[in-house]
Amino acid sequence: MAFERSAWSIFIESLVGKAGLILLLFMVVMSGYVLLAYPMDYGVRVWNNDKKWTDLPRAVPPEWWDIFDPRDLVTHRIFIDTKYDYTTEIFGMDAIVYEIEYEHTEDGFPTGLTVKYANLTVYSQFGAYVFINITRPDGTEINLFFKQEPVPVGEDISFPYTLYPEQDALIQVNTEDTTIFQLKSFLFSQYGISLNKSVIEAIGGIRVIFGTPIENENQTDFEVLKGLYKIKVMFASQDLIDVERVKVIIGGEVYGILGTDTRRRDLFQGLLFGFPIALSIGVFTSVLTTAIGSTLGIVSGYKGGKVDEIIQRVTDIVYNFPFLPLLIFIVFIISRIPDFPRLIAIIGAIVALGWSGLTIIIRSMVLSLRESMFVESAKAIGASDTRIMFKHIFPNLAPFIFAQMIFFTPGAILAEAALSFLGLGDPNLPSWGKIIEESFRGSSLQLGMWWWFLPPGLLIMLAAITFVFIALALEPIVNPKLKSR
Amino acid sequence: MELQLEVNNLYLYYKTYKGIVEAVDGVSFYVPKGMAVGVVGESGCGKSSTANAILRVLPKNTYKYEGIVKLDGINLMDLDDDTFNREVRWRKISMVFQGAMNSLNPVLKVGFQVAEPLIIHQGMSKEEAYSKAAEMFELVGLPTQFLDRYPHELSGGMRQRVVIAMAMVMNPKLLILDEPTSALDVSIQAQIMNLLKDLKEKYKMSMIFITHDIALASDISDYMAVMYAGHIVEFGPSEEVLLNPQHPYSQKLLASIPRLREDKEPEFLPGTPPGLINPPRYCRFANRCHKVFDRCWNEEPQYYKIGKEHYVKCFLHES
Amino acid sequence: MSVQRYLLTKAINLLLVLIAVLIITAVLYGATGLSDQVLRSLVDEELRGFKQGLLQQPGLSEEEFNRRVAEYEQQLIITYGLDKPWYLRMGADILRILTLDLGTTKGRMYSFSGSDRVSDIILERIPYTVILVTTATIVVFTLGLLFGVWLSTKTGTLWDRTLSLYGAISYAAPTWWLAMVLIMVFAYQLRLFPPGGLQSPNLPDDPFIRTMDIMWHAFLPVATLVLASLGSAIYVYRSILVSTANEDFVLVGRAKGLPERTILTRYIIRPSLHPILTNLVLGLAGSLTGAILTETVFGWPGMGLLYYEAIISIIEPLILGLTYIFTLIYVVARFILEVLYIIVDPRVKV
Repeated sequence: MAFERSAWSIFIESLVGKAGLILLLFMVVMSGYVLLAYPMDYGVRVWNNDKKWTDLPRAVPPEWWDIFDPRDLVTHRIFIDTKYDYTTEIFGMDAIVYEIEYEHTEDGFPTGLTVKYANLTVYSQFGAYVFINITRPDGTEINLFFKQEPVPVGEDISFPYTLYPEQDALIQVNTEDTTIFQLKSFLFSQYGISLNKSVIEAIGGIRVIFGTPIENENQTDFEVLKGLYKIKVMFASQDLIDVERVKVIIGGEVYGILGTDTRRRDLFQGLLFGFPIALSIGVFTSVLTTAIGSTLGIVSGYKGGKVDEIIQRVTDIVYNFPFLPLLIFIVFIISRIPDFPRLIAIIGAIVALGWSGLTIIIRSMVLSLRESMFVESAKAIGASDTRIMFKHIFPNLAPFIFAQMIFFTPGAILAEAALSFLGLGDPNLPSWGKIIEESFRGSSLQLGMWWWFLPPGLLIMLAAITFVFIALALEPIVNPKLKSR
Repeated sequence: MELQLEVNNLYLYYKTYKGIVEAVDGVSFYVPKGMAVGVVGESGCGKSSTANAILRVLPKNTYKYEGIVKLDGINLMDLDDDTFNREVRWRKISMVFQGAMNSLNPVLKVGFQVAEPLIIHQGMSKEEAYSKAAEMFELVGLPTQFLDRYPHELSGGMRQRVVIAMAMVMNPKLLILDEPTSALDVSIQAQIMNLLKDLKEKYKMSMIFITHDIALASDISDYMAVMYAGHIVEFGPSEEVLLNPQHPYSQKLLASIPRLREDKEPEFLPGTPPGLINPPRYCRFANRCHKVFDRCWNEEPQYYKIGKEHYVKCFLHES
Repeated sequence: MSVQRYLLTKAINLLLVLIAVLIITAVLYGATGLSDQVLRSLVDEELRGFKQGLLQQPGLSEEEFNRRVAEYEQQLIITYGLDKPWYLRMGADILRILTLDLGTTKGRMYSFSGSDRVSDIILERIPYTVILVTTATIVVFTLGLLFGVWLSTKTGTLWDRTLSLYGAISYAAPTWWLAMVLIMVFAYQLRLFPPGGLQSPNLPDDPFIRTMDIMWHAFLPVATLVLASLGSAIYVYRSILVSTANEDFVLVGRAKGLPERTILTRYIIRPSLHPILTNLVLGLAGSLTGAILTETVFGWPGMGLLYYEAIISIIEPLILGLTYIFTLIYVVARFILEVLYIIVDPRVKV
């Protein structure tokens, strides 16, 4: 009793086939999202542009790590205010106040307190003064910092004049000298504690700002003060004044879905980009390799004679090339040509070294097909060689060729990752291999920054496994030996 | 007449994930001493499984294995595996397998493979075993230089001879041959058949000759057993079964053989045998039988004796 | 065709491979202008030094200075071969390298023993790579066979499916990344093994201690290579063994009453060795080149790391020479495979 199950039903029945398809779908969706939501020059404009990342903490693990870490880790908070909350008067000047409220609940101290502002517009030579002050949960208030924002003198200066038009002003409040001084007097006036500026710096200004002192033998320690903090950033001037955006950043020990690297970059964003890169490299390389390999195999096997001889020779030679060293060498050489798109070089190199395996297999399959009846009859009818090859031989081999194509893809993905790891990848694109390379150079291993190199590696594996699963599920369908009689 | 082998109600079922395969379903027949019994039938009817059951070559998924297999009066089924292996296997009963292509271990020399049972079972030294193997080679008509050859260095016919030599090396009483010539072309087939007939004559070997080719079986067999769907449906002396088949299946089977000198057209039997997983509990040939009647659809027929040694499993001959 | 002719054909073919690789390497190097570029910068550097030297000399007129510099420049150009276009340089270079006269790095890199001859540098590093790769291969073969045999008796069970999954997954894992994971866990977190390098500094001169130290350093790299290929090896071996076990002659062996142990070794494992060995040697050739990545991660001073260093620093003679050596080793390994084919399996028709 024999019945035909369609290829599709065999495929979909196997667990690996289902898993592979789901993974593939996932990758396609992610790639699509990235291509739609991000600009094409993301790599140059954002990823490698340090200025875009200054708000984020440096080298911190993902937020969910808090569940596993026994310590209660401080979340990184970025507060953005674009309108001032109220006005007040300071030292006889009118001031606009940007106030943010911050609730500190964790057992640890924030890693820093940063204030940034952009487009500070002044209306006279007077310029402006900036004051930063903080009201703590215990009611105490510290005037942390102040500075003058003078207007540069010059003939081409006209009013209103905008300071910090391109790059935000950045004040690392907890390490500023002024702040340390202020903290010193705060400690004395509030608690009667007398500490040198250098001691305060050693302890860390942030612990004073967000903590209360506890006497400990002959040392002063600070414990965290939890509760509601009000941080006020005040801009004072004799004349009008305007600020477009104020950011207050409470430095955290964790950030985001996948943490940050040593350049403060959000790894989740960077890794997202890897999807379309991996998919496109995988697909293009395998399609090209398969196309070339099978065409040569079919022509060589069918035509025979001189053509076969030549193709066979060449194939045999290329087949014996050591893949990796030559791949590295070729990509390296091409990388020295300025402006040559690196991705194309990589795809080209992998294809150039990879087609020969398929040619050999296809050729032998064609040799056996050639003698079969339907080819004989097609020839008898007078069909041309090309026609026979395309209409008769190729369709027989198509399932096998398709499966080979799928099977080649993980190899291509891994090859690209390896090249990126060696520093030969596209310098602008954040591919997974590149991120691993950066993590390796950035001492992620020594520093235990597992979140930097584990996710990209796992993603590479995921991408490769997707195609391995699909190929495995295809095997019973396309393997001529395993076909049930 | 002395019986070399007596098989009574032999069962061999396998367990597969699709169900239980009732490959050998209550098979009975006998082999008189020095005679050859041909077992014929379509592929998948259980011929090879019967052979395996007799020699106790059981797969891991054996579900049921019981019955009576008497060799020279001793019920082999009573023997435990160790005793069977020591005293019966290959010594008293051996087998010539089909597809000599693949019956020989490709990485061992053929001489060694023939000598192997002697070394293992009888503890013979290599030299002794090899000289016995050389004897065997001569017996089957192979030059002794071939002892050191590998299977792929021999032609199909030569390989089959090696397999025969290998089966005979311990002078068994009963030789089971499972499609020994299927993979060979006709001229070689004839040579092998002559060799077998010769050996049977010279050594008074009892044989069970399994094949789907009735003409071939008739060449050497003194008795015929016709198998269908796990059962032996007819058993008796060759002339009687061949010239006067009583079971409807045997009749159709014989009618399907093209005859060289007759004008009769070979008949064709439509349909396929029932699968061996959950076979019908009535006559298994009912759906293809040209003489079927009511009772056939309700019960399984027993063996009915219709001649001195002729048995048929069909209600038509209930007596 | 006799065995000798067959092997000879193979050998010639492999020779062609070597030549082809060299040609491609040289052409790429030359046609992209890289060769000229690098040589030019070498010339410039020497000129600079020369000029410095001249400036030290008192009483040199500007005219004389320029003349001497120009003269030296000409000399340098001839020495470095810049007076000829790259394709003319190429021919001589290739012939030279084929005969294993690999030249020198002209002072741009030295071996540990201080020589700047390319062959010395490479020769020094080969043993380290060989240690790594052969140890890993032996471990994979042994474990693979053991587990493969065990697994072949468990077809269809959960074990079978789990291990085939493991095989698929380890095929997908980048070796060098695995290396990083192992380093972080075992070297930095658990502090069981060193994170890289060949030897610990300041060791006593005792050869036993030194050897142990090297082995201790080699542990993680070897473990990485093993982990990366063990999964697929087990699965491949298992498949081969199962396929052999289903062959008719195994059934015959059982019918003959051979003890199960004999069946296993003589009838299942032995006929399986041929495809297993093929797999092994193919893998060996592959892992020789794969060593490039692992050595880079571990800073293991073998050929792989050398290749990386040569490429990054663009040392042409070293790159050419090493590519040649890699290909040579690869090709020789394939050739040995052909020979082994014939020895191990008498079935191979030649």
